[in-house]
Amino acid sequence: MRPILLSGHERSLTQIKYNAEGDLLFSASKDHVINVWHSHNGERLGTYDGHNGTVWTIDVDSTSTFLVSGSADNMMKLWNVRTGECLKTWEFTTAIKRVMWSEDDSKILAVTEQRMGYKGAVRVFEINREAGATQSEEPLITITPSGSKATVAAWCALDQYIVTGHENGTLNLWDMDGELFYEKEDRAHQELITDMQMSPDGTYFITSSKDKSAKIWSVGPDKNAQGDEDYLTLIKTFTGEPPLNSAAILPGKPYIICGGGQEAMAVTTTGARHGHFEIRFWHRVFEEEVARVKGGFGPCNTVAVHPQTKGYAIGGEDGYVRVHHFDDDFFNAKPYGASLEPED
Amino acid sequence: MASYDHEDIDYSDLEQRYASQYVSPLDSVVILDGAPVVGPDRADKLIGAIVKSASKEAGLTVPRSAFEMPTESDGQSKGFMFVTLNNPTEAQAFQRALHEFKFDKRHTFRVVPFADVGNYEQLEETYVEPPTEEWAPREHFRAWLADPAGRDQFVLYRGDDVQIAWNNKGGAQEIAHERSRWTESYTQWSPYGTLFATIHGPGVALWGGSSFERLNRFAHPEVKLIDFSPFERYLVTWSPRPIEASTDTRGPSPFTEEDEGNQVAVWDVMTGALLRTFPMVGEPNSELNKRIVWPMFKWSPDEKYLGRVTPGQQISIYEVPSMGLLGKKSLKVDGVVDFEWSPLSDKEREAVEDEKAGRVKADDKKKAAVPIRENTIAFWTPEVQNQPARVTLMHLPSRTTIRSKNLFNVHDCKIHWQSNGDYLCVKVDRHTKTGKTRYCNLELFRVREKDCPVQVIEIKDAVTAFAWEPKGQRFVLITTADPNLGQVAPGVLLKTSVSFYGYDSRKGDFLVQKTFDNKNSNSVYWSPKGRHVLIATLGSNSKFDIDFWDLDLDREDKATENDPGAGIRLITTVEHYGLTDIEWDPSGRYVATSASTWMSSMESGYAIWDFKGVELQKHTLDKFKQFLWRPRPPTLLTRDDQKKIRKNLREYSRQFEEQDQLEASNVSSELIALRKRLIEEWNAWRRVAKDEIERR
Amino acid sequence: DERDTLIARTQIIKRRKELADEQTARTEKQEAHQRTLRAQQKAEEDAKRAKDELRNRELERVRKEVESVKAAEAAKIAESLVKGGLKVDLEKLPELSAADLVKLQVEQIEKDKKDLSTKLTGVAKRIDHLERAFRREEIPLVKQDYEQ
Repeated sequence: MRPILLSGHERSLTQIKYNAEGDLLFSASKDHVINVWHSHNGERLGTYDGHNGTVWTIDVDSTSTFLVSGSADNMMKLWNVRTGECLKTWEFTTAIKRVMWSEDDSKILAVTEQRMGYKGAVRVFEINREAGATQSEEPLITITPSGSKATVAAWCALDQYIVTGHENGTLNLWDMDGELFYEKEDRAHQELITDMQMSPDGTYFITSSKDKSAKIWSVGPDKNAQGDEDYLTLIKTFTGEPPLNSAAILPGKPYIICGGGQEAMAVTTTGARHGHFEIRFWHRVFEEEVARVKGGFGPCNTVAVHPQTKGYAIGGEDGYVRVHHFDDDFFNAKPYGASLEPED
Repeated sequence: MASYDHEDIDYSDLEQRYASQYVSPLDSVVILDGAPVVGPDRADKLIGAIVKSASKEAGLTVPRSAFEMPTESDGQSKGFMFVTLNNPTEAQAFQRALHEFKFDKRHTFRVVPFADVGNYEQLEETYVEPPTEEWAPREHFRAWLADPAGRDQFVLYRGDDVQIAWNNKGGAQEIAHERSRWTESYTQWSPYGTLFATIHGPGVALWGGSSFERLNRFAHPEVKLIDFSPFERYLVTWSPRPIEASTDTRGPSPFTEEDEGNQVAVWDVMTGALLRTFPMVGEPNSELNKRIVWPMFKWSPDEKYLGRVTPGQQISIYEVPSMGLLGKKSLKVDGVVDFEWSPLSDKEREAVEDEKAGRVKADDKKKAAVPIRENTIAFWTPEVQNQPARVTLMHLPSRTTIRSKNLFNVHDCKIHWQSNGDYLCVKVDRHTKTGKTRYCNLELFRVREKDCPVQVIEIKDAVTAFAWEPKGQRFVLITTADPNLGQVAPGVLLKTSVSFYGYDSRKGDFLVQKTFDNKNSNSVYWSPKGRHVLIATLGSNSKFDIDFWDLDLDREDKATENDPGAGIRLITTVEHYGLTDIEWDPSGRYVATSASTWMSSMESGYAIWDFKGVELQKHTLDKFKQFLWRPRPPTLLTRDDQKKIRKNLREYSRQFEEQDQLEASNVSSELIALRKRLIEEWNAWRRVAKDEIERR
Repeated sequence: DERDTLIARTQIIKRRKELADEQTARTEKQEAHQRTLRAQQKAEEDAKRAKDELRNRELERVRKEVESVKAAEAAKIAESLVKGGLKVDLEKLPELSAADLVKLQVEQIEKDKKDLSTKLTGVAKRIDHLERAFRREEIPLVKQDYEQ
């Protein structure tokens, strides 16, 4: 089926997110605007206006009550999803690159950029769901990674840990005291980690990297070959041609999808053909590529999967969001045979 | 991977061979073997005849006193003799001219330098023909032909790595042999695939056998171009650097002062011996030498002669192995531009092979029934003053003109022989009197018919490509009326038409069977077995289309009587982005398309398709340079063998189908087992992870 | 008295006559009115009928035109399809609509595709098996060649 093209942004997309029901799709862009759309028909419900810089990141809580956003204007904002009203603004010294609601909707994490004398950090804020506008200014905990800066972060294992992905391709696990709990000894990726998305139950997650690969990790403890406890274990690797910007897990289906592409600069010199802008589907157990779908006219910056796997959406460097709906064949297809369907 | 730098190649034996500066008197002595055994009464006559041959073949005057013929106790000669020449140079010339010389029907001389024989005191008792020793192959050169699965091989050259791989039906990689830095510039197979040539700074190396042992090296510094003779016996090399004599201390050199300044060398592949060197035809840096036309020396299809044209003046034909000028003088043809040898039919080629192998027996009537046709060349001369342009067909060595035809308003000619030598097409590019518009005449010679009739087909447009169907009676023509013709600009794609012509035996003419307009194709690749043809767009930076045609697909179910072109069908059109080369496998079942960084392809790599245009494998590879199928020699099966196989094809088919199914199911059962294991591992891990989360 | 009776009688008769006349006049008038009404109705009906007829004729004309356009279209499509290699019973051609023809064509394309694929598979097998058979039978000869 042809995708629905959402053309409400004037500049590249940075992050897109479905709400828990999957009826709404939120999109953040370099044009300073956050949009919310009906995911089934692509109709725009509204916008969240107030940022004065690229909106790098957004996340909606599990009840679709609050939206949190982070921007290059050094501000993190809390929004009322329904009214579009900005409830609270936190101001930092550098841009906010990643935000995420904890599983119980009681906290948010915010990754701040490292720049000119300011160390990057991951801060956790407690959110008073009844208080609306009056929220704490001070973070509950502050994680300050030494070494390579964090580019992405996520809650995992029932909010027990925060996992951070770094510029140099490492992964770290932090406990709720803000202490480094587990450090992956070898670099998880060879280059910058661009995205990190959790499985529905938070026991494993997928990372994408500029090193052209996407990887699935389990959140431990697992016994490794030496009998030691390993808290981050590489489960699967998916390697393609282009540097990847985003990867997502399809709940209920044995696939993952990933998107990326050559940077715009590199593309103009080699012709569009080389961009590798296709969205790729991989079997997440067999590590085999199963499908390739045409992407946008430029690299894909962000992918999101419908929580009930009714479809997926991609946000492109070209400023468009493309919403794909799976047809019935996709739901019924068991291309490897029924006996070779993995458990979720 | 073993690393093969030119410095690693051991040249010590060459050094030994050429390092000796001391001239022994024995260097002037050669041994001539293979002469008829005669009694004392006929010894004089025999020596006289050999003297005559030496004069004719080598241009040497050898006194009778130079011969010493050992005899048995009964006075009968032993079939060999010692010949003492005036100096080592003469000795070499004598050897070059008379080695392998067919003295008469039953006697072929073998000539070796006396010094090579080694311990000559025991010569009479232990005489072993020296070449046997040198030629004894360490491995079977044609072992790959005995592959039980009947697969072909190909070369992949990427970055510094050279691989020789099997073409597996399922597309799975299987490397037969690989080496890093095996060559310094490119690789090339000999015509039958027996030898693999690599090109290095100091010269050419040849490899063969199942482990690709090095067989020989040919020290020609800075060699750039090479060409094998049709039966792989000789090698011609060209270097842009004129030869310097052996005073060059940088390395061993087979060259003497006589070779100084020359750029072309002809070698014996098996012995490694230099047969002769040649200078370029024109003065250094003259117009004639600006563009190197390769092969510069064209081999006759029976490997007996090689010829070179001196544009505007003459065609020079040399005999191998003596390398003497045929008839002692070049064929003077005022204005001559180019010539081509007529190829041989299969039967003719077989007869030549039998002759070479000494299998011709007087009582074998069947073989005698196939007379070896005299070699034929076709050459053309342009208009000069009042003389019209002309195409001539000539027999060699007799120099009998069998046909010539005058041509008018000629801009250029191209000579295209059909691969059996049955037909010759001279594509004559013509211009109108004003010289503005280009059009074309095809002059089609039916060489095997009496008086060699010529049919002329006038084409209103310019013809940009012509190609005969191998061993067939059809050809493909690409024409264009595009005004952009001749303009070389990026992005300019000529509008072309593709026409299929065939010989209509009832009308006795070649007739157009089908024409397809609105194409951009510019290149034609016939399957080596005919019938299937690829018509592609190459050299563009935007279009990389390949059309797969089958010329006989619907032949069975359509009334072909009235429409000989009814079977012509475009099967499919595919694209290979960045495509620079197309090559059919020797069997005509597969075709490889490759994109080489040498041609600055935008996406280098290669793909293999079947003849139906189904992509079987594709690899995008950085720094990919060269893909070459390994050629195969003609089949060893006799005609009767082949007939029998054709008759029983159904039975073979059944076996192959069974075999293929078995293989396919083996592959898939392996794959299924692997997937099952992966699923089990995944499920086990998921259960543990879920339990873990429950406990929290 | 008799005269009075007579006068009275005459009066009565006269009156009756008057009444009768009046009645007649009224009836006539009524009838005339009815007639007029009827005439009017008829005229209206006639007009309506005429209009209907006209409309029907117009509809019919349009319908015919549409049909002829459709037929022409079908014929055109048929012509192009037949020219393009569609195999169809020419006698049945007029009965087929453009949609039918397109359906036919789709079917035929499918069939052609299948035919082509079957035919090519056959050719592929023949070529492949023949080559492999030759090569298999050549193996002992290759070995023999080496031994020589």
